[in-house]
Amino acid sequence: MAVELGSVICTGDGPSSSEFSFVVTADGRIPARRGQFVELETEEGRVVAFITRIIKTNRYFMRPESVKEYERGGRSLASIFPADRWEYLIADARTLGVLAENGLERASFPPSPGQKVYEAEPPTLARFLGLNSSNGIEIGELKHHNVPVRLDLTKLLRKHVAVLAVSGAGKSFTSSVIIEELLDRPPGAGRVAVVVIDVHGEYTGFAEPGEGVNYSGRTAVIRAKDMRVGVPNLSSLQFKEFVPDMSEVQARELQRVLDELRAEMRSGRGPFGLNEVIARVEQNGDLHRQMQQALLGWLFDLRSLGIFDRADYPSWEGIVEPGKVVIVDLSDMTSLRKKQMLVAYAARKLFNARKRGRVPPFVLCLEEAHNFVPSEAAISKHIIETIAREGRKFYASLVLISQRPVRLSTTVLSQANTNIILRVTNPYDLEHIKQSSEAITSEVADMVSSLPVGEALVVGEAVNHPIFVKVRCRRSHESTHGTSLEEAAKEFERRSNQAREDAKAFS
Amino acid sequence: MMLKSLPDVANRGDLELTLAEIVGKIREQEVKRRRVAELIKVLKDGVALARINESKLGGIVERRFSVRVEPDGLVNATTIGVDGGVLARPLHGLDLILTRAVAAIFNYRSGALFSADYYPNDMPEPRLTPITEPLDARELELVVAMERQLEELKLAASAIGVCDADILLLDGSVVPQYIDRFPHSKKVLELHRALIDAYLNLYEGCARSDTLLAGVVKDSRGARFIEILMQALPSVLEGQGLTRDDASTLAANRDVLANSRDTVFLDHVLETGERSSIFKYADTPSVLRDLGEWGQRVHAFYLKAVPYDCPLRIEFVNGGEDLVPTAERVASLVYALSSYHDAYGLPSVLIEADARAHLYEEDLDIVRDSIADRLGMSTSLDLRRQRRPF
Repeated sequence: MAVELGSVICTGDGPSSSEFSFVVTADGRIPARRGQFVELETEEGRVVAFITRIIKTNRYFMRPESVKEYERGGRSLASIFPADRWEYLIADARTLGVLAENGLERASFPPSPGQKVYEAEPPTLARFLGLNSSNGIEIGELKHHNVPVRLDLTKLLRKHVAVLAVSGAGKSFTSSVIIEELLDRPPGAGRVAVVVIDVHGEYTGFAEPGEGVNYSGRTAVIRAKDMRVGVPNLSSLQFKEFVPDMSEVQARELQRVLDELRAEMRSGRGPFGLNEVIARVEQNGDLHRQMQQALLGWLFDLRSLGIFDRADYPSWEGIVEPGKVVIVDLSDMTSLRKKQMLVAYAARKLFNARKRGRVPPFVLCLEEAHNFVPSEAAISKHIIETIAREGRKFYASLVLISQRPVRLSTTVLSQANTNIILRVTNPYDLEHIKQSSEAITSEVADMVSSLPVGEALVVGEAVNHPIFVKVRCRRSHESTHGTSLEEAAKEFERRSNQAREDAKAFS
Repeated sequence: MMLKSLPDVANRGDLELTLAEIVGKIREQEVKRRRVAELIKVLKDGVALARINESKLGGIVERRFSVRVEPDGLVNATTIGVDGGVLARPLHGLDLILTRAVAAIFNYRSGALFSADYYPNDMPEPRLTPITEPLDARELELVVAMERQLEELKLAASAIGVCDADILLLDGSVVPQYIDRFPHSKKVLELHRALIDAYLNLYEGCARSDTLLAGVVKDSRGARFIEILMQALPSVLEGQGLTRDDASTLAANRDVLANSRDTVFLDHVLETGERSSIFKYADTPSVLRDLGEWGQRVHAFYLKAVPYDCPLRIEFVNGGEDLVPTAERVASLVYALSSYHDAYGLPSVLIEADARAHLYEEDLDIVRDSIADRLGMSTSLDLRRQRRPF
């Protein structure tokens, strides 16, 4: 049975069809809260509304001079008057719509003063919010309601997701929960492959058997130092993507060399690497010397990065599988340029393979997305933006995870149709988020800046109305990167001491 | 066409003149009042009313001009405050009166409010009284006031039965105020009779339950204390060793006493925490004749509870013989309950009762609208002045 919260009251300009206030008559320590959904009957039907503000009022405390006077000498007003008996809670609510057969219709008629207001019931909320109760991605519980938030897979991922928050607010945690849900889906429910670009090694715990669900059998971890870009798979355009300053003429000449080497490879000479490309350029007497030197300069530079080889590692088409996650651990790599190259290459390989139907529908989770698809130029920007724009058609989805949304490409952020926003305090970032989604009103943005760790605002395609979610507990093993500063410091000293002991023993 | 709006210089001049006159008069009165008050203030401790001939005292039953009051410690006390709210709406062919009375019951432990109860509850339903008899405006005013008081008195009489209170405080007088020399309709007379009965019932109830009964008059317009003082002044001042200047000051400003209300004058004379001497509510039996022998038991005094507010007029009914101890106890309790705010001296229990009993115009609107809806002719109910087209 629905819990009665209060009664609609008259205010200077309400109740109206869009807003109303109610006096909270329910008992309890905290009978109603800001952010809670409520429902009530009107002539149009069952109306769902959202509490935007709650104020307490008490006639005994309305005049500061009287309060000060009565409480002088350390006396409390409560020792003179039954002030607590005059405390009332007034909740302001914004009408979201009238429940209808096919979802929600806009309310066009106000509720009556005196109308009883009830806490919204779980079935009402699930219907109103467009949750998928049976087959959705359960990221947690609706705040202030005992309702599991199960987001429809298609609505959530098909048009990409952005997970935005300050550092330490729970971005990786929330993303891990989404990944768990994707891995836990039974084949009959439709499974996707997951690739995580893990900049800080925060997802490697998936590969470790731990308490709870064991995902190690469904996880492949690729270390950055092992990753290789197969040169035979590269076109001159991809080289140019890695070396943006390469001229068109240089690229054309390079393509000629690559075509020759590729033809030889096909005739049985085996795959080739950068050394072969360099040798062929050096041997090419037809090239203008100046251009030859410039091209060799670019190739030497690329070779020095140590990420190019005769074949890809991993084999992207072979490694991604439905219901499995590939974690690309970039934590031991410091060069942003190298990281961008690897990500650009992997993303392009995956997207192209997906377009040809050679890999299952996949979700590419991009940690520190602002480093790979920033507002300014970056090696990996073009392909990520391409997936953001075109991925929907090919079931290639992005989960963009960032602590600096203001530095993210606006193209890619605007394509992320669902935002999961945890605590964001930077006013520029907040403004940027607000501008990227019309569903984020000022009052919602205010709430974002004070969200506790582990709570998120979900807004956009996946839900019919912005909701606050208490993200559920993680079932996978948390990576060791989550250890405390104290533990990290002790570990450093332990290793240093061990090294000294070893050196002494050796001498 | 635009009409020029010019200031009416002549009228504005008249207004300025009138305002200046008013201000001047107030200042003059205040200066005079202060002079007299300061003189009496100096002399008051030496004034021995006991030495004065009984007939000249004319109602003062205590032989001291002012008395220091010790506030009650409220260690273990229960007080009841009763107040009522009233709203009236004259309509076409019908007058509506809405009343609500509440008793706030404060229980004190160790000097602080321990708990609060309400009778009949903390927000009782207002009572609607329709008046269909044709009453003139003055009579309607009387009926409205009497209905409110009747509601309060009935509630007060019931409230003393629900707890063991030390004192019951009414907001206002403890005697009926609505007697005048004009002839009245049957309705008014019946109501007045009911009011007298309700008062008597309350007096008896309080006496039976050993509950002190006092009325706290917020903004008293009474002048009886000054009347008595003026009557007794020559005798009072006898032997006080007044200088010639003081004596002439008193003589010159004697008129100011006649033009002052008790509270305004006593505000200058009484110190905070002092009360005036007790005086009889009325000299002549006719004033309270309807109350029978109870009429002789109604007394009053003024209490200055806080420094920046006028003294309160406290009326009380002395059910037994011990008049002065009763007054002391009443003063002590009222002082304790009224001295929290330096500029607002009213018992806290009455402040609470007042807030609970308060009615809003909207409450009456709802009633009026309900009647109109049922009649199906909403506009015809309102008087012409309430339904101006513009």
